[in-house]
Amino acid sequence: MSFITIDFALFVTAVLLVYYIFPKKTRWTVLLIASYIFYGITGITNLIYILVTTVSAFICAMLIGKQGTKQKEYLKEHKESLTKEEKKSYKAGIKKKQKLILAAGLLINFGILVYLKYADWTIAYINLFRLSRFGRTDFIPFRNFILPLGISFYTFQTMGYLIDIYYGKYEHERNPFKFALFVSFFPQIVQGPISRFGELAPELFAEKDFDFTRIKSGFYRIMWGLFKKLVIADRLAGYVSGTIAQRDTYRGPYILLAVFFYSMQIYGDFSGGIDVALGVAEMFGITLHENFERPFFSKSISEYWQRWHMTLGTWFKDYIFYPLSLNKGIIRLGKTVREHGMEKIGKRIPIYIPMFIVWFTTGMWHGSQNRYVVWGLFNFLFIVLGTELEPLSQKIVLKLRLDEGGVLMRSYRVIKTFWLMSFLRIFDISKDVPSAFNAFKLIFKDWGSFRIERVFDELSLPFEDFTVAVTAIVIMFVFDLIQRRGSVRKRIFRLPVPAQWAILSLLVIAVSVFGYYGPGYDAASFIYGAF
Amino acid sequence: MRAREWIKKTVSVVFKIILTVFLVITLNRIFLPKYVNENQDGRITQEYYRYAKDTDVIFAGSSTVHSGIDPRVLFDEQGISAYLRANASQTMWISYYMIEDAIRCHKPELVCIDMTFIKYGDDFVEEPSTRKALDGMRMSLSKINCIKASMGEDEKMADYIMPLFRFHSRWKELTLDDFRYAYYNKPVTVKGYLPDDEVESAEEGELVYTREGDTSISPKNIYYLRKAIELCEKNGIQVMLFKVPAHSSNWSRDYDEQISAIAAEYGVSYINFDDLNDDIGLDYSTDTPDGGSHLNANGAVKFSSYLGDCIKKDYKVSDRRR
Repeated sequence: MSFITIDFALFVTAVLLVYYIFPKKTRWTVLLIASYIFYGITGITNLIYILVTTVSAFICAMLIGKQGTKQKEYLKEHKESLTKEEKKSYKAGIKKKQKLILAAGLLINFGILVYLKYADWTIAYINLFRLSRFGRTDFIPFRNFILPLGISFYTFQTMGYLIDIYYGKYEHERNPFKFALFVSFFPQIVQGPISRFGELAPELFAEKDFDFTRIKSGFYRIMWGLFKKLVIADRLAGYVSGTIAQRDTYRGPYILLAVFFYSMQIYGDFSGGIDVALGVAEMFGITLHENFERPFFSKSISEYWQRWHMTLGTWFKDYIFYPLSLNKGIIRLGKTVREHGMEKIGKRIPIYIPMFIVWFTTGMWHGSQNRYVVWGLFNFLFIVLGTELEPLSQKIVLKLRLDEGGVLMRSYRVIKTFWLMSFLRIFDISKDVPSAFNAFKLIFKDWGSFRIERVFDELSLPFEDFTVAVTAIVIMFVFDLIQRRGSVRKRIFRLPVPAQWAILSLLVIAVSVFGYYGPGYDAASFIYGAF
Repeated sequence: MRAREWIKKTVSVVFKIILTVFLVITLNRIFLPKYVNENQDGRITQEYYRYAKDTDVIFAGSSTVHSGIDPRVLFDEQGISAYLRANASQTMWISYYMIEDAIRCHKPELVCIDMTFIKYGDDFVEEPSTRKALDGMRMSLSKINCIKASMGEDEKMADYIMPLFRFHSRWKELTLDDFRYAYYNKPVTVKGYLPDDEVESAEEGELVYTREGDTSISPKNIYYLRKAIELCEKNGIQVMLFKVPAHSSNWSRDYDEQISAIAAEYGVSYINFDDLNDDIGLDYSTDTPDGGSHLNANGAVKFSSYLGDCIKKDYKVSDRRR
């Protein structure tokens, strides 16, 4: 059930009604049932996957927790009789057991994810290897798995929980049904945000009163999300894919425009979807973590990644980057390099090796194709270059007597970051790595042949749609700018009621009229064909 | 004080609801194609309500009806007040709900159901035709059921209830007419009749039916035909089954036999007017706009005159001239 269907709107309305009719204490059960219905609609087999994740993570967390309790009780009981060494050894034994349980949990769940997502990718490489090495043409058939809805999101969220339990960040959840809701909460299961148990659980299980303002606020947010998704993203999709597919015909500015529009499309699509998720959750009185913070106003790539898909970024940082940075092997390697006279490189090893792994994994997470891995590694490269060249950049700024905090420099950095990230997205819209490089090369060709009429007439973006898209993009940026000074919705709610009503009506009309959805209307097809 | 606040709040909520409903209805009306200057068959369903209370005979069927029967002739010659609830490519299930909807508004004396379209199977779906037939229908359970029975797999009920969802992309081509006719319904049909002055002669020679393959009437067609007859019976309305005359080979005697059997079962009559072309006086070199599939205005006058006689002879229908 997609977020942008009437069915979803009806579903949410029905769940809201039941949710607020139920006593406060038991409202979370409504969400659990609704989440399973929502997920079940996507396919009964998908339910098996989410159940495996839920049950396995619940059991592993419980076992890890039990080991912790056992340790506490044992140490308390033998407080006097045990020596320091014995206590240490006992603790190490417990930690080892907990580590084993954690490894089992991670293996099961990431195993499922990796198997479903990368089986065909691996098979393709095995086949290639067999062919080139042994000339074998009896290819292993592809599995063609259909990924269960949101498996990457709920697996990451649940494994984050398991790791947190291992590190003793909080107590494990004792109620399996409450835990099942944490894994499956329906507004966020499709595309995130990836929540942390410590943040989400209190929101899900707190007893909250009905608050009309929250319903209204959630509705505004949903409509704003739909505006970004339907008016901007979906309208631009045809131009972007059409131009990239015909890049030999439409070169230079056509591709550059496609690159720009794709940035708008992906932002509108993804952040719009997140707005819907957050808006729906808000209607239930649940605050989810923000996932975007005006990323196109970032002044560096590092900053950009702190403001784009924030919950995934922090997940990688907390569960991959930091543990790897503190990994004894990597620290030792850095030390060894430093001892061999390479002080600067040695210092960077505990940062860049984990960062490399993070970006490789981020690439893989985005898709099981080489172009995503290359995209991830380019991100890594740009971040490294940005960091390493910063002193040089500072020198230039000083020499040219530019004001680092001034509008000019800030704008330069924002524009530079925006275009660097936009160019990297060519890997996202191209079918493979060579095509992406080819598209990038073609940006610089045939600038003289550009005719805006061809955009309107030949590339699925007629003049009227072009105008709507550009206007909507401007509105989106203005909105982002206003948002820097605080919540736009709170500002709206301070306005007189008729003004609030007018803004909401305009938003609803904009979405329902200018939204790019449905089969379209062709008057000619309505002319009777005279059967 | 509290009571005053409560009243204020209630008035405000009611006002907001009324304003929202008005806005939604207006938007839907603006975006719905007006079918005034083109595709005028899309107005047939809507214009019925203007005449409902004075209609004694309902004709249900497809384009052959709305191009082949002239209600003015029926009235002038026999005093019959008729309306053609017949849209392009109108299936039997739509015809059934057209009759049900008509009875809901005003009980007619006679319902005449054209069989021309019964030859198409259960899977027949033509979205533009369904939309033209249903967009003008007033909201009722009949409409909901009709949508359910008619829409294709890719269509959604919501698109019929809120036409804005279906026609929103017309924002690029909205004209003054879309605003002018949002609430004002200028009649463009003659009680459902759309005269066609074109002439395109049919091939000369005797009419021979050549439809091949499976010529059994599909279960859904039979179901709704029976349902229509039973509905009329239940309401004490006379029923006539007929086939508008045409010079088209796209028919089979098997259909006639199956229809006749059903008609006999219920004690109603069925006439295939193709068999009476000579009696009617139709000349397919001048009386058809498309080589014989439909009748043009000339043919409609001839057929309506003959049909009026038949109705007057066999059914009790009021003479509205008196």
